[in-house]
Amino acid sequence: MTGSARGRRWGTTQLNRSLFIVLVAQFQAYCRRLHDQAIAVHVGAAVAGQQTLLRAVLTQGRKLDAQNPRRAALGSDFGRLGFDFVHDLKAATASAAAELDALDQLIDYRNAIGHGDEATIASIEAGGRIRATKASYRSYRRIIDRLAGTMDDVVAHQLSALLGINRPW
Amino acid sequence: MAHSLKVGDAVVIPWGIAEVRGTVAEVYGPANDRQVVVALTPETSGFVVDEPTTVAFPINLVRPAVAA
Repeated sequence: MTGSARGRRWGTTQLNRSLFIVLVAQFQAYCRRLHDQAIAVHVGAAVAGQQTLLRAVLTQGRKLDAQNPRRAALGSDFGRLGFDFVHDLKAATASAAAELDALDQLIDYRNAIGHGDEATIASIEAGGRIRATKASYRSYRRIIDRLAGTMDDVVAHQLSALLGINRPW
Repeated sequence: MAHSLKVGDAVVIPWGIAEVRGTVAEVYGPANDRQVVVALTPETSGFVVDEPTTVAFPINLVRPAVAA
């Protein structure tokens, strides 16, 4: 299963599945960090008396604190910042809509793996877009990397426009 | 003090010009920017919320609750 010699490695399915779990966990951490930083910018632009209340309003019931970072969760949480996040993502790049579709599929796959739901894993893999292979993992990691970069850019641009400030990053 | 917070600890967070009590549900983020997810319920949080929910605050704004 390990070693540097050429040739097929056997028994790697479980290891490859774990890569998808980690990928979603890393993306969720990234999303929360981006959301936290956007809140800090919002709070920084508010008058002192509003700041703690604004922070509470922007994080109360935040889906990213309890749920997977699906498109709907991203739209709900980032939408509180004052713009239509999913719409703006789709408008930002030609590939964003497909990346959001891939994100939801990745999370379906991650959940099936996490719950040991072999029937759903087989059903998703039968669709032919995602499998427990290193090549498939790398493909999804590239997609999620691109989506994260677009999210970063959209949030910075929209905060600047909404608050009338320089781009925060 | 706040940097030793852990899941389940009773804490106090700012709420407008007042404060409310909650329970630490999660501590996350890099060491120089730790964030705390605080669980609020109507009963423990003075009925500022009408159903269980969470809020997230930087750890420096969250302080341990002292017993009444």
